[in-house]
Amino acid sequence: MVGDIATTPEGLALTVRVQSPLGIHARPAARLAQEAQNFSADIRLRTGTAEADARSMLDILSLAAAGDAEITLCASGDDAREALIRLGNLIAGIED
Amino acid sequence: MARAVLSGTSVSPGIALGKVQKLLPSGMVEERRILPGECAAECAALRQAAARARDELKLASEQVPADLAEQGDIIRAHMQLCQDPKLLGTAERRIHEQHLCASWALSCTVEELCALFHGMDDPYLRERAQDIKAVGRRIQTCLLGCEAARGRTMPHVLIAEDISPADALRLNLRGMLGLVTMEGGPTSHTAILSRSLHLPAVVGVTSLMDMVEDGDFIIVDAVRGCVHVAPDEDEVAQFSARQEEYLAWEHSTRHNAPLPAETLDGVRVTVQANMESPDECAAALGAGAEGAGLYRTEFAYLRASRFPTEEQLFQEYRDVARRMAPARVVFRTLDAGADKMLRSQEALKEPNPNLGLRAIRFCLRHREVFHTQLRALLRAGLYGNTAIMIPMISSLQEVQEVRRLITEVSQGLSAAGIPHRDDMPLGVMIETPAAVMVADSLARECDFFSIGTNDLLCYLMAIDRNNKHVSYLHDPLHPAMVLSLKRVIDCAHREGIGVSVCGELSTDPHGLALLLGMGVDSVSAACTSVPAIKHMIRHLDAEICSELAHSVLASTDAAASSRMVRETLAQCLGEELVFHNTMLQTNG
Repeated sequence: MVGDIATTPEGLALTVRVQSPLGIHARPAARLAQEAQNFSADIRLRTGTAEADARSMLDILSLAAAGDAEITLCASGDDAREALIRLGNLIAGIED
Repeated sequence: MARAVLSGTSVSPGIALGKVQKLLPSGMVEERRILPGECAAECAALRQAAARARDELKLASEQVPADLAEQGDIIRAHMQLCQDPKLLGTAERRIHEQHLCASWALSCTVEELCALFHGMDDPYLRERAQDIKAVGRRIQTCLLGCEAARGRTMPHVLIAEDISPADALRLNLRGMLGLVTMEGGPTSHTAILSRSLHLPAVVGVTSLMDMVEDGDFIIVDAVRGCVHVAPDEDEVAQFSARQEEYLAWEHSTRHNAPLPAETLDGVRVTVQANMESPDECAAALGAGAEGAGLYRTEFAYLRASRFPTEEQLFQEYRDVARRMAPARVVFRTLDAGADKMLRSQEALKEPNPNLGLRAIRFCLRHREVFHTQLRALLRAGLYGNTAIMIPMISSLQEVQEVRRLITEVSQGLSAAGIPHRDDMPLGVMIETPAAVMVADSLARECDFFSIGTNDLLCYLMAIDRNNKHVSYLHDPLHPAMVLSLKRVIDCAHREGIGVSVCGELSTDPHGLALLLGMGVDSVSAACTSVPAIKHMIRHLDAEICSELAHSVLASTDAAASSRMVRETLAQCLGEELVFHNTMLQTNG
């Protein structure tokens, strides 16, 4: 469930809804961090109050994104757009 | 005045002056403050360790069977953790801001993150603390391994509780000036390692770890067997001068190394090297060794995770035989056990492996392993002057059984048309009291004896060579040892076979004089000791040694024997005696 990419003063932003009832757990967090490392853009995950570095599995985990949470992906840098699409799809696709 | 003078036992002579570096046992966290200038190197070491930990996990993940996919996912998550920016970034910040060493910074960070996850509401996330801890431990282990690579190339004196063969592998030998350990005796691994590296070493310094700190300046006087902690300028000057004298003396012994070893009254003694790899041939020949009196074959077995093939062994043995020819190479068959355990032996969980299924006992139980080695040895026999030697013999029947096996192997090779040597000389190691007692019958069954003095002394005195509580019994001049040596040499000579000594005793001037006096035919020692042994022999008189042996044999008191030997030696070698290794405890 990937929405539209918005332009903000800090870069690009994309809001995604986590479908899995378990939220982002270790395995998808590892996957996300690994993917994020493939991009040169600085990518961050935001929930209501907290923020995490998308490259850090630990940071993602400590966001404690519970199921059905809304996450805003923010990215700035050359490949920010590609990064948002890729990670957005990953988060939306978390199943189990 | 030095802050302290600690005494111990010199196991490799020489003098070293330098800054201390402590070797930490693996699994321990090092808690050391660093200088601002060292931050970059510590961060690099951390990165390197994390990368290595990740590589190890990657290797593990590739070996996970398909039906354990879940397990594979966990490993992949751990791999991701190994390079996690939060984990590494926080640790690096600690290195830069608090000036903690990498190991310490990592352990603080892991603890902090674990606490964070532990405090989470979600039970699933709470459990993730386990993953962080596991990854932290893995990186920590790699970090200890990397220690060698990091800043440890600066000149230093290594101090440790003890150095195990496993520690030796992760040591960085570059920059090491000397070694001091708390544990260990004259035949400990530290001793053997330091002698083969030619580094001054003192062992058995009991208060070492409490009295000496990382970065302290110390003098290792491995001529007298003591350590000066934080010496003053005068002491530094005095020992620097002494170090030069020692080096000059050592240089002269090396210079004369190619000359034969003949006593003042013309008795020729063969001096050979103990070896364990074909790479050592050049060093052995360069040191003036007349062959390899003991070629240890264990290393091909210990290095690999599976038993080496006949072809691998054959190539190794052939290389050594060729390079040493025409000088003789005595191959000792697999002597695994005790401190050099194979996996199949570890599985036995013997409570006392020193007295267990080791060496020939293991080979006679695992025939297929022994068979492969014998085939390789007989085939390599065509490429030089070789002999086979059997370790840990305790009965005549073992020798007869080995002979029978050799004949069988030889017939097998002939039947298959494989070229080999079928008349290879066969010798036995005399290292158990049982072998001493039956030396006469053993002498009739084989072609030469080699006395392993280290093991023999321990088995004879019933002591563990690394147990310092009974190290006072580790006295090669104990009448039991002296009488044993005499008996073995006489039994061999009665049957017209030669006797060699391949233990530490032959590198000790006192032991050497005694052995010469008893008529030993050859000695074999670490390559680095060969020049000094030849030098000593040239300064000894066989007749005087023989009289000395006579007196020592008649003595019932080891201390009195020691006095006699020291007095005789002082007359023959004079001042330079202090430059030699000695394991005589009464040597002051």
